[in-house]
Amino acid sequence: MTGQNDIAEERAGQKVGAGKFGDAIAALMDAYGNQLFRYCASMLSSDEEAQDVLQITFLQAYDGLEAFERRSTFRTWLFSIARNRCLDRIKTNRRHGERVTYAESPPEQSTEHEMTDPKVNQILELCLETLSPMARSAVLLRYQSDLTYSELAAILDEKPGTVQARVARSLPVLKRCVEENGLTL
Amino acid sequence: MRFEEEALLLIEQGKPLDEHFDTCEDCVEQRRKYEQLGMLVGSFAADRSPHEGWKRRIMDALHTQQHRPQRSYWRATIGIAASIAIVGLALKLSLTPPVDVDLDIEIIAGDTVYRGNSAKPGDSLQLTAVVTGSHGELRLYRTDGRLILACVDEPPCARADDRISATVTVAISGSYRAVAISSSEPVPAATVNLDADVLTARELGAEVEVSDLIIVR
Repeated sequence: MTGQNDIAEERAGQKVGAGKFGDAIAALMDAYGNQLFRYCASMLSSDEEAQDVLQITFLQAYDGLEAFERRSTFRTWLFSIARNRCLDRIKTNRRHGERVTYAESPPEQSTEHEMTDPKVNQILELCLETLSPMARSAVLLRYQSDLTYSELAAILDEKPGTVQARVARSLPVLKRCVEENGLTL
Repeated sequence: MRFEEEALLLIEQGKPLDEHFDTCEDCVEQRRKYEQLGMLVGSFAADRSPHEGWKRRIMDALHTQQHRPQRSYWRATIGIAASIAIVGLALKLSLTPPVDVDLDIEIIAGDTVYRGNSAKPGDSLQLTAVVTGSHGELRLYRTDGRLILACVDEPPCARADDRISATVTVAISGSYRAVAISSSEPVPAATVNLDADVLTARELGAEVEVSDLIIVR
């Protein structure tokens, strides 16, 4: 965890200790809001839905702050809430018949240097969606955060070894997908 | 040794790689590609951030939660009275066992057990009914007008609490239907006519579940 995160954790802890839960949430939003939004946006492929889930995450955290026993960091706890709400949202979307939309044809083969960022992001988004929500969550947290595997395991509610195996199994699937869609690694 | 089968998990586990992976050209190339992929995922969506004003909206929502208006005395009294009534109703319902029924069928073909609508002569049907009423019965009809089974706790049925189960080998080709009945009153004896029996039981207020047709051929 970075020094900034340490400071945020300490500040939020002090606010909770003083019964100032609103101030604690404000400190946590400052520290982790963007990270959580990015994770949710990557999970859900939608900024609008990520925005909803972000709000739900902090409201739920507020409700649970008093009972939170600090067996993990606030950050791990918040990611855990966000992850669960993202999975809920994915399930709901599936029930309502929303499906992943794929490009009708793969983009033309391009090299790393020729490919513009929007194209790279488009392919990555497409390929991340081919992973199961659990696998997607593990891969995103593994590469987008500096969380340890113990913290990832706590967030994903799995053993560290299971998360490691899940990431290792998902990477070839992701690599094959991005290459098939024209991204040269 | 293939990189994807051996090395990726070791890397994730933070364990040293076999020397082979450092010397094999293809492995070195694969490793580079996976590192590149990791970096791309790591920077994916880095430019996305929440809408402006998102913190204020959350704080507003929290403020609303914290400062709900106090209920007046009479409204609180009505609330308490309603709560007592709801608890009383729930208690009454919990003391009166609901009459409910659930039927499940599995087909046993040799070592294979599956759910489906077709079986072969000689296969067995594992019938399980959950009947919560004080009277229940499990039946199996062949639709050419034969009652194959009708029992509660005598063989081939076995009853444990509200669960009645039986295993029946279907030796003859034909169409079969299982029926589970749950009732607060005694259930009239079965005849060979499934439709008439179901109608009679329902007229007496029983809950009846009839299975899909199971074709044996």
